[in-house]
Amino acid sequence: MEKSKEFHHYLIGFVLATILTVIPFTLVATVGGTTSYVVLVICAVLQAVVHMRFFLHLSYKGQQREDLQLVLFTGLILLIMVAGSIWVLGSLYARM
Amino acid sequence: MVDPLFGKLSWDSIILVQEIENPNLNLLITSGAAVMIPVGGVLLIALLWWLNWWKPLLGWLTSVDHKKIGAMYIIFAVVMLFRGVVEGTLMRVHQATALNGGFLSSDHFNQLFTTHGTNMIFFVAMPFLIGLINIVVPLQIGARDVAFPRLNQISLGLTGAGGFLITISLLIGEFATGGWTGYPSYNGKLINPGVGPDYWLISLGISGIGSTLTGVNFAVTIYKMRAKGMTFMRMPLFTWTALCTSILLIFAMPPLTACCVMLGLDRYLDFHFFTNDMGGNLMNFINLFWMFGHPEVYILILPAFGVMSEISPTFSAKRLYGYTGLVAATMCIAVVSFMVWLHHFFTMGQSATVNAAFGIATLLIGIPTGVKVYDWLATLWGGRIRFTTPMIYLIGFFFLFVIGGLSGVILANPTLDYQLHNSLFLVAHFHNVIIPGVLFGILAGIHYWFPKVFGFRLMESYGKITAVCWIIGFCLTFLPLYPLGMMGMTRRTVDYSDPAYVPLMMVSGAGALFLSLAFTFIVILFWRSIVNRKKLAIPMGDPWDGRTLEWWTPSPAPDWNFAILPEVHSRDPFTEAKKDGTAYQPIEKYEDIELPSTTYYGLIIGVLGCGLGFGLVWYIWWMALASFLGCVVTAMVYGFLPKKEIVIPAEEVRKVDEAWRAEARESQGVTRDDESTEANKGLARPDALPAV
Ligand code: HEM
Ligand SMILES: [Cu+2]
Repeated sequence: MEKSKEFHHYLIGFVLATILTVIPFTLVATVGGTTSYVVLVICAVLQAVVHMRFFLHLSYKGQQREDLQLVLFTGLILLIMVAGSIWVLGSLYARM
Repeated sequence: MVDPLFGKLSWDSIILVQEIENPNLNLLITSGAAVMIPVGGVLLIALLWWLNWWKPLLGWLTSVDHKKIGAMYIIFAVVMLFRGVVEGTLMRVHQATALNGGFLSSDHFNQLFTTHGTNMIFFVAMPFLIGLINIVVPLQIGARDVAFPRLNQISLGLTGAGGFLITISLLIGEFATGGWTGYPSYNGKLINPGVGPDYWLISLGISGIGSTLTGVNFAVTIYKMRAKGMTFMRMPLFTWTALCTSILLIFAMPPLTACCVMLGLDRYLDFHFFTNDMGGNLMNFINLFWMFGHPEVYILILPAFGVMSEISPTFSAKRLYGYTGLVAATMCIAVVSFMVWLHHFFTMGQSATVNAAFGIATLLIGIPTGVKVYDWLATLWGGRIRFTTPMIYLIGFFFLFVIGGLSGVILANPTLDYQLHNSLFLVAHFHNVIIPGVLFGILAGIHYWFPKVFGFRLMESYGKITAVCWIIGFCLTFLPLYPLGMMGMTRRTVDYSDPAYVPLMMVSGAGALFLSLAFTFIVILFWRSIVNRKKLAIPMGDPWDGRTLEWWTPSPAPDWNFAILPEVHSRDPFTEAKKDGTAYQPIEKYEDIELPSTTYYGLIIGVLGCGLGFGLVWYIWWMALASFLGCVVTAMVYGFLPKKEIVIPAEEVRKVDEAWRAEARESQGVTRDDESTEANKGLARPDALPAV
C-alpha cells in the first residue's frame, strides 16, 4: 500500500472509531435505559471490527489461514467468557 | 494527611524500626527475613565490586539473547523459590505446634499464606516456565531469536518489577492478608485501608502486563519463525505446549489485569465495582479472577507436560508415542480450560444447573490429561530406559501427579466440593498437582537443558539426591493433608482446638523440613556443578542423544544459535541426521549473521516499573507520575531510534562452526551407559540396540 492510501485508511478508521465512541457516551449521558445498553453493545462490537479492519489491516483477500484461525479462536474465547459471565452472574442475581 | 513528598511512608513503615520500638516474636521473624534484603543487597554489591563483575552483569542485563533472558528468568525464580519454601515451611512448622495457638500471630500467618501463594504462582512458577520457554523454543524451531527480542527484555523487566514490589513489602509496610486470590470483600478499602492489598494488586498488575507481552511474543515466534519444512505437525511437543501456553497467556492475563485495575479504581478513586453498596458486585471480581485463574493453572502445567514429552522419548531412546494424540490433547486442554472457571466458586450460590454444567466440563479435562499420561507410559514401554535425574522426576510425576489429578476429579463434583472446599483437602490437591506436576517438570527441564545454555552438565549425583528429596518431602508434607481435610480442618487457619489433628500435622511439619532440605540440595547441586564445570563440559552439544534441533548446536549455544538455519524433513530431524551420517558434515557456504544489539530498554522500563509501583502503593504521587511519564518517554524514544544490529562476519561463524563439526566427526562419542560419567563430552553414540 502506498503512503497516502495508507494514511487515508487510518483516517477513516479514526473517524469511525470516534463516532462509535461518541454515540455510546452521549446515549448514556442523555437517554439511558435498556435501549442505550443495546446500542452500546452494538457500538462496542463494531468498534472492535473497525480496529481490526483499519488499524490491524485484517482482510479476507490474501488472508493467511493462520491469522484467520487466531481470529476465530479469539471469537470463541470471547464468546465463552461473555456468555458464561452473563449466565453465571445472571443466575446469582436471580437467586439473590 | 498524605505527605506530598513521602506519601504514607514514615519511619514506622519499616519493619525493622517497628521491631526496635516494640519488640516481639512475630516482628522478630519478619524483620529477620527483612534484614536479608538490605544485607543481601550490600553483600551482592560488595561481591560484584570485589570480583569486578559489573561489566559482565551489565552485559547480561542489557542482552537481548533469548538464552540469557531465559536464564535470568530462572535465576530470579530460584531466588523467589527460596522465599516461598521458607514461608511454606514456617507455616507448616507453625501449624504443627498450633494446637490452641502457635507462635505466629494471625495477622502474620495471613500475610504468610498470601505472600507464599502469590509469590509461588506469579514469581516462581511463571518465571521458571517462561524462562524455560525462552531458552528452548527458538532453538527447537531452528530460529535465531524470538520475534521481538527487545519486547522480551521488557517482559523480564516488568516481571522483575513485580518481584521487587512483593519483596520490598517484607521490609517496608506489609503485604495483603486476603490470600493469593485477593477477594475484594476483604481487600476493599473499607475493611482493609492499609498498603497490603495495594502491594498485591500493583505487583500482579505490573507483572501481568509483562506476561501478556511474553504470550504475544512467543505466539508470533512460533507462528512465524519456524525452520523451513517444520510444519505444525512436525513441531516438537515442548514447542506445541509453549504455543498453547502463549495463547492462554494472551487471553487469560487480561481478565487479571482488568481485575487489578478495577480493584485499584475502587481503592484509590472511590469507584464501586466490587463494593456492596452503590451498585457494586463483588461476585464479578471472583468471576473475572477465575476466568484468569483457571487457565493460569494450565499455563503452568502445559509446558511441564511438554518437558515430560521431551524427556520420555530421549531417555528411553524411542520415538514419542502418540504424537498426534498428545497435540490434540494439548489443544483440547487449552480450550476447555476456559470453560471451567466456575468450579472455583461452586459454593457461592449459583443454580444447580450452572454448577452441574461446570462440574461436567471440569470432569472432561481429565480425559485429555489421561491420554497424555498413557502416551508417556507407552513411550517408555519397551524402550531402553536410563535412570537419569530427569527420569526420576518423571517417575515421581507419574505416581504423584495422578493422585493429584484424581483428587481434582473429586473436587469437580459440586456436591463433594461443598464439603471439601476450603479444607486442607484442597490445599493437598493443588500442591499435589503443582509440585509433582509443575515443579518437577521445571526441575527436570532445567536438568535437561542446562548444558545447552552453560556448556556443562549438572552433576547427576546431587541431581538424584535433590529429586528424591523433593519426592519424599512432598509425600510427607502434603499427603497427610488429605485426611486432615476430610477430618474437617480448614485451610488458612492459624490455630485449632482439636487434638486429633496433631499427629498428622507433625508429619506434615517434618515433611516441610525435608522440602527445605530439597531446596538446599538445589543450591548445592548448582554450586558443586559450577565448581566442576570443566569436567562436566559437553562442548559438542548433544549429551543425551537428543532428537530435536536444539541439540544440533555446540554447547553453550553460540549467540546466533545456528550457523545456517536448519531445514527439517521429519519430526525428529536430528535423530534422522545422525542416522544417515549427515549431522556433522562440513558446510560449503556461510553468510554474515545479523543479530539485535544490546539495549537498556528493558532495564529502564523495569526500574521505572518499580518506581511506579512503589509510588502508587505509598501514595507518593510525584514518584508514580514521573515513573509513568518516564516509561512513556522511553517507549517513544526507543520506538523512534533506528534498530541497531550487530553483524557477525561469515568468517567468524565459519571458524566456530567448522571447529565444532570437525571435533564431532573425529570424536568417538560416548555410549549411553557412560553418559553420566566424565567421558560424556556431548557427542552421543547411539545405542547398539536399534532405536525404535
Ligand atoms: C515447597 C514447599 C511448599 C510448602 C511447605 C508449602 C506450604 C503451604 C502452606 C502451609 C500453605 C497454607 C495452607 C493453608 O492455607 O492452610 C500453602 C498455600 C499455598 N501454596 Fe504452598 N507450599 C509449598 C510449595 C508451593 C508451590 C511450589 C506452589 C506453587 C507454585 C504453592 C502454592 C500455594 C498457593 C497458591 C497457596 C494458597 C495461598 C492462599 O491460601 O491464598 N506452594 N502452601
Ligand atoms: Cu480451576
